[in-house]
Amino acid sequence: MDNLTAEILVIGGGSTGLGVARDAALRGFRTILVEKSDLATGTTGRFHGLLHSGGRYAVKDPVSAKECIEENRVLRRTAADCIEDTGGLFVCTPWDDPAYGDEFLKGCRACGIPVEEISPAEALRREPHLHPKLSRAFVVPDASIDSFKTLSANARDVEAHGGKVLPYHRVLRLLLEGQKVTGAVVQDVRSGEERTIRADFTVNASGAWAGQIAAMAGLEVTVLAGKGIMVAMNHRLVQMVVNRCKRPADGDIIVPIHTVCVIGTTDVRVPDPDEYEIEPHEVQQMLDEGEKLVPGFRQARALRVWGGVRPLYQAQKPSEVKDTRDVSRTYTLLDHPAHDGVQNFLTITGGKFTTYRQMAEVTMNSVCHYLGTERPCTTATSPLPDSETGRYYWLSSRLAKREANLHTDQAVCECELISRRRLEEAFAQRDSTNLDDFRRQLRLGMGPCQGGFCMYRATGILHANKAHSAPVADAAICNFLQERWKGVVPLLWGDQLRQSRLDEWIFQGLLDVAHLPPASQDKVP
Amino acid sequence: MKYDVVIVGVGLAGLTAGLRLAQAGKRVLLLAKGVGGTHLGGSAIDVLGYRPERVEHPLAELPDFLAAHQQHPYARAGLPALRAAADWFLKLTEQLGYPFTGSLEDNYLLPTAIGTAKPSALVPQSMAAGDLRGGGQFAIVGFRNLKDFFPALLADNLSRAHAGQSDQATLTARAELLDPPGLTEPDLPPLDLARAFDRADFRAAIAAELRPRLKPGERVGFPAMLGLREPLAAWQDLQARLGAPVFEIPGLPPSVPGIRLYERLKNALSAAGARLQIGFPVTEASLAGGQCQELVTSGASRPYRWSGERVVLATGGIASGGIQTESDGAVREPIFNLPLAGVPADDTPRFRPAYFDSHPFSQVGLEVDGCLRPVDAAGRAPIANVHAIGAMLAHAEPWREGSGNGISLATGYRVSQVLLEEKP
Repeated sequence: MDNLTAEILVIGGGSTGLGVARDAALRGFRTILVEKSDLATGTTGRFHGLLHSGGRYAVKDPVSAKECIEENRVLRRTAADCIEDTGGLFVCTPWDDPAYGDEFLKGCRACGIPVEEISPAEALRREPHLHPKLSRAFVVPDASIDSFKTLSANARDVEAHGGKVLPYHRVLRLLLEGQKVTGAVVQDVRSGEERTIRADFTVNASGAWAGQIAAMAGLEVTVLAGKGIMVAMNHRLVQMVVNRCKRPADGDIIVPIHTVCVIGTTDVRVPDPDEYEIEPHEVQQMLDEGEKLVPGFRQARALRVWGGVRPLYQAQKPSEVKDTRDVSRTYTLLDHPAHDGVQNFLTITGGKFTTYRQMAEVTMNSVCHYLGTERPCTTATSPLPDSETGRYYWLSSRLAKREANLHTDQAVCECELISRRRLEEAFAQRDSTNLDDFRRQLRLGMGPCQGGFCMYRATGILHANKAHSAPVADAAICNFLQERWKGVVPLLWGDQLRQSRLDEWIFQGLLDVAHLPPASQDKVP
Repeated sequence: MKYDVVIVGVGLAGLTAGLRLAQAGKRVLLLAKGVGGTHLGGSAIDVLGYRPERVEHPLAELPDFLAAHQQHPYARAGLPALRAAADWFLKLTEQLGYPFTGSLEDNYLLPTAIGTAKPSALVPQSMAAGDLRGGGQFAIVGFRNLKDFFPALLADNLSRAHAGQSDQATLTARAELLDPPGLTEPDLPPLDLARAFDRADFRAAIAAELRPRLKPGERVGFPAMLGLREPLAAWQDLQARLGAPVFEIPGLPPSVPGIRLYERLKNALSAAGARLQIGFPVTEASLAGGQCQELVTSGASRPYRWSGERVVLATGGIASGGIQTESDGAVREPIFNLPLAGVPADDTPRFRPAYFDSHPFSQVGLEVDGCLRPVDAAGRAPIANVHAIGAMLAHAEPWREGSGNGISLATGYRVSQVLLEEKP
């Protein structure tokens, strides 16, 4: 395969990496980004979807809180199409000390976070499902943000500015000339082919995996992985982001996003960002905490559970860290040329989705410094593709789009309103036959039926339009069934279990997918 | 009025039991919150398809299967009831104008909508020509604006499946895509297509377009939507017009073959004097002296109370709501709170990580005695006049075994024998 050259090579296809790549491309650098899996498969696609106001950190971590409110304002200007302006509430439930509200108010004001206390009655008028005995409530500018959309818009903008985004390309090793990083050897994990990418400067933006990449340059970087789990419920039980008004703890937030609401999260240190389990007691804990904010929470249908790992940079030795909650949520740029003598290489890690753009700006400022060029950052003022109008998306945006072609196009996925033409376009644009990639891109199979109906259709369309090969199509459906199963196994009760049994009826009873011809249950990379 | 038998649930099990009892002169009431599993499945009667190797001769393998699965619902119903049920069902569907064909001796091997070769014992006559045993040449017909049936994928998989077979018979399969005349909406509902096939002019137009494209000796597969009201006539007519054997392949729900069967069984029940009350769930039961006295349904205006000498519970498994689970792990049968069997212990996982594995929780259900009365762990029946049949019975894995409708038919038939005091 052809070798490539770039001015900037970015490693990592999460929000940080895409942010850096877009920042670089907009400054006019020839940029390539590599990601070992699909975009947004690490931490970025695995959070609750909160655009922080900073309120959560106002008392405990003011540096992080200030970064959040600054970037909250920037993203509202530049990424409007990815944001639903839900607003946010911090509420004191009967389990929370009302006096903490005074600290909270003080903290928010000190950090420049707009905050307004409203009466419990007014809070209940806005959010009728909240606990009726809440004692205090505060309004802050939290919002929900679609990370898949945000990353996809960043990636399109990188390409529009001459850059390349290469998912499913794993870094095998960094190229080193003496103490200078000059690029990387990467492998296309689907074809197995290797290619060399030579670059003037390399940015390690691999989040929780940053230690692994840094080690390839002989550097020791300690990034702790803090696992958080999230449960999506099949209703918007709240229309605003609702936080518990207390020090950060497990299950203290419910984020309404698209047609669901997500409760999160936990914080447990895990040794390996690729290996962690979701424990039944963690799920039960989320439901118990949900009950405190919204009585009856348990009666709603739990749709999916997932875990993500926060990259928490730690200058201390990991053994000295007792609780990953106490590690700051701010970000860190590791200046390897200055501190480690390794040239043309930076690591940016830590931080939050909300601050990804600022992290990218700081990183590229440093890169420009080392390359001896002055090119100003424009990402704080240049809107992402489709965000030019500054209009936020709203709950029924997808329905409005679907209604435009209701009488001219098929609905492949009724739950998420995906038309056949949209799916066929995505198949044509993307070099992938993995239906899970299209799930992330289009929300295919993410609705309450969990792919029961759309998955057979998507497989048929994949076969007819793209793969033209039954083994590839069969592998795609088997792989999707397994992936979906992984997300629902910890939640199999009530209506979700019923749905799962109905889907089994379809896939196993009716289609008999389990007995497809051999070699079809292979994993798709 | 007091009924002889009140049946809760109108899936295949409830309909089978109800029709036999009504035809024998019993006063029968069927209560259901809605239509049952007939509208979901493919309507073929799978008796034993996998154990886990594919089964060719179910009747021959059943004694051995039951020796290994002594608590299986088939063991409770007994093989004689299963055989009698199969004979009864074949005769019945013939009389109802929607004939099934086949036997317990041999499984058909019929294509699914994705192209797997699936074993079934009794199938609608209109599906039988899809039998893949012995190979053949197949043309699979789909419709461009029908999103629930993909003939090219189906045909490719059929060819592939056969390539792995040891016998020498050859199998070829190819796809044809048509635009259904007059049905131009981009999203064609399966039931609209089925209704269109009830019309002779529509069939004529399809045949005129398709016949020149067929190769000699081909059998022609369609999605199972060849007519809703008069499917037998539609199928026969289409065969005559095409000059080739035609067969149907079931697709995603709603199941057109299932609806045909349901409508016919329902009409037969009404004709036999049974009453059907569909649309209201049974919300509670009143008990006295170890007997069920009354069942309560929630009507639109007020609760209704119904009573019967005997109650037959046929509310289905987890998919149908006959067995319910809660977020704290509780599992229950919601009407009588009957004891459940097969629930994995608290410290063992209910589901395995691999989707296609056998999952311990799949076997949860009601344990019954030889009279199909639910019993507790000690073998006692807590409510003497309640029986249970169909998918809610424990110790079966219908999709893995290929036994779904077979269990419903056998136990529905058997409970009617018990209540009529017939010898098994």
